[in-house]
Amino acid sequence: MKSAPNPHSLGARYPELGSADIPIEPYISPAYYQLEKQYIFKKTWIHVGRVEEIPNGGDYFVKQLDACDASIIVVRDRAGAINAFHNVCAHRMNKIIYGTHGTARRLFCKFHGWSYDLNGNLVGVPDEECFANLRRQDRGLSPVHLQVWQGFIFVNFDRKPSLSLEEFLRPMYGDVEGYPFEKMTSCYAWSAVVNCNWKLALDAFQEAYHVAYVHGNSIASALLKSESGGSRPLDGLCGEYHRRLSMAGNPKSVYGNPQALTASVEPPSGADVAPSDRPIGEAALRYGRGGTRFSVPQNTLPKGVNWTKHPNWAFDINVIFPDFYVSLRPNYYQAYNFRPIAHDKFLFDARVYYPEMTTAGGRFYQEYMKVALRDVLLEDLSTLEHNQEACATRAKTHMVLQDYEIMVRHQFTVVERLIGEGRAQVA
Amino acid sequence: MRVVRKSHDQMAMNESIISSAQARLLPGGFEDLEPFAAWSLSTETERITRRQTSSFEEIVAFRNAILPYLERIFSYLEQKPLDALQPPDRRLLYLTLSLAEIAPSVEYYRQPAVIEGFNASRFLPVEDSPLRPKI
Repeated sequence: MKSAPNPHSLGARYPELGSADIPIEPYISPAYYQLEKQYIFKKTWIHVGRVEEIPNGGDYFVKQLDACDASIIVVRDRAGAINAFHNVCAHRMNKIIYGTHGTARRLFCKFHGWSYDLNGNLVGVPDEECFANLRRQDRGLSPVHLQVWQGFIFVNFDRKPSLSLEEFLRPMYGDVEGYPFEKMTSCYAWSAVVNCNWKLALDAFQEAYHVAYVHGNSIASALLKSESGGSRPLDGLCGEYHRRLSMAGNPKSVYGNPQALTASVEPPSGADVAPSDRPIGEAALRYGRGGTRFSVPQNTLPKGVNWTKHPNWAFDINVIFPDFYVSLRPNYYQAYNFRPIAHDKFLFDARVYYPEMTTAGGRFYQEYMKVALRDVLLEDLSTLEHNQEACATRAKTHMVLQDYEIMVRHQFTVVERLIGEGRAQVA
Repeated sequence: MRVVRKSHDQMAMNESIISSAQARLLPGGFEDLEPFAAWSLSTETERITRRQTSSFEEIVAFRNAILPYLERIFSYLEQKPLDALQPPDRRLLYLTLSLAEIAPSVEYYRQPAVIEGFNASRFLPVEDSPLRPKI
C-alpha cells in the first residue's frame, strides 16, 4: 500500500541530496578510509575538548587522533592562551606525555630529558655542548592549528586551513551561540573501542526511526510519538557540512521532560507509567527539584535551539562535521566524538555535561539521569558491530533510506563530495 | 584443621565490636540500612560492577530496603552542604547513587543488565576525567 505524500518531507527540501540507494562500500573499504583521512580528517576542524578542562596555566590534556595520524598536547600557557602541539619530542621523536591529562611547569621528555616551555619552545637540553650547532629555536614542539568556539577546542592539521573555525561553524550554528555551555561544568565521560565504521556508527545516532525498537525497553516512551506510533523529528537541517535534527519529548516522562528540575514544573501526574511502576524515577524528580546550581528558563535559550519553537521540544541533535555529535537540551547536553581508528573501528568518546548539583537530592537525580543515558547508549552501541559485520558480507551492496533518515544520506553525500574535491585538486 | 573453640564471652565481645564497627558505617538513624552497606560505593565503575554481578533478587531486595527511607535520607542530608559531607553521610549518599544505578534494572529491563545491550565492561566510565564531580 502506498501512503500519501508527506507534506513535511525533508527530501523534497533538499533535492540535491538525491534519492538513490546508498552504497555500502564506503563503510567497509580500507582504501576509502585512507581517502577520508587524507581529504577530511587531516583537512578540517576536529573537536578535542572544552576550555574548562584546563582552567589554569600549565594544565594540559592529550588526545590520540588516529584519523589524523597524531597525538597532540593541548596546553594552557601562563598568559591564559591555549595552544596545541604534536606530542613528539624534537630530539628522537619520543612521545612527551604518556598519560591523558595533568599540570606541568614544563613539558619534559622522559627519554633524554629535553624540556619545553608551555609555548613549545625548547628550554632544556642535557649535555647540550655535545650537540654540534644545536639551534634551540629550530627545535621547538610542532604546533597544530587550534581555535575555540563557544568553549569547544578544535584543532586542524591542514598546513593552512581553508576556513576559520567560525567560518566553518557559523552558517549552521551561528544561532546556537549563547547556549550556556560554560555553565554545564559537571561532566561524565565514558569510552569504548567499537568494531564499526565511524560513519555507520554515527548514522545510528542521527535518525529516530530506530527508537521504538532499539530503545523499546527504556526511553522510547519518553519521545513524542507520531500518529503511526514512531518517533519522527520535528525538523531537520542539512548544510554544506553539518546537519541538525530537532526532537519532541513526552512531557509526562522523567527522561523526556526538558523542564524537569526547574521549580515551576510539578512532578508528573498521570505519567506514562503508573506511579508504582517507576518509583525511583519519580523519586529522582521529586528530590532533585531545586538542587541545581543553574537552570535555564526555556525562553532564554538562543533562537537556534528548538528552532521550530515546539512546545514539547526535547532536544536538538547537532552533527558537527565530520565526527562530533552534540545534543542540546535546556538543562544538559551530550557531546560524543566518533573518532575513527580504522575502516571498521572507532573510539566512542562520549560525554554528558550537566550543571553542578548543590544538594544530595540533586546529585541523586543527576545520577539517575546519567545512568539512564549510559544504559541507552549501551542500547545504541548494541547494533553497531553486528551492523558492520553484516555490511562486510557484501550480501547487499546498497542501503535504502526513508525520508527521516536523510541525515544518513547527507553524511554520505558530504564525505563523497569532499573526497571528490580533494582528489580533483591533487589531479 | 583444628577448630578453635572460643569462650562465650570472647564471642560476645567480638560480636559487639563487629556491630559497633558496622554501626559506624552509616549515620545514626539509618541502622536498618546497614545490611545493605556493601552497596555504598564511591564510583560509578564499582556501582555498575556490583549491579552486573548481583542477581535480580538481590537488586530488588536493595531497592525495597532503601526506597522507603529516601524521604528521611534527603531531609537528613540536605541540612548539610554537599561538598562538606562527613564519611558516614557520604556513604549514605552513595547508597542512593547505587539506587540510581539499579533503577534501569528494575524500572526498564526487569533484569540486572541492559537487554541485549553492548557489553558494559567495554564502555566504562572515565573516572579521572577532569570535570567529573568529586562526589
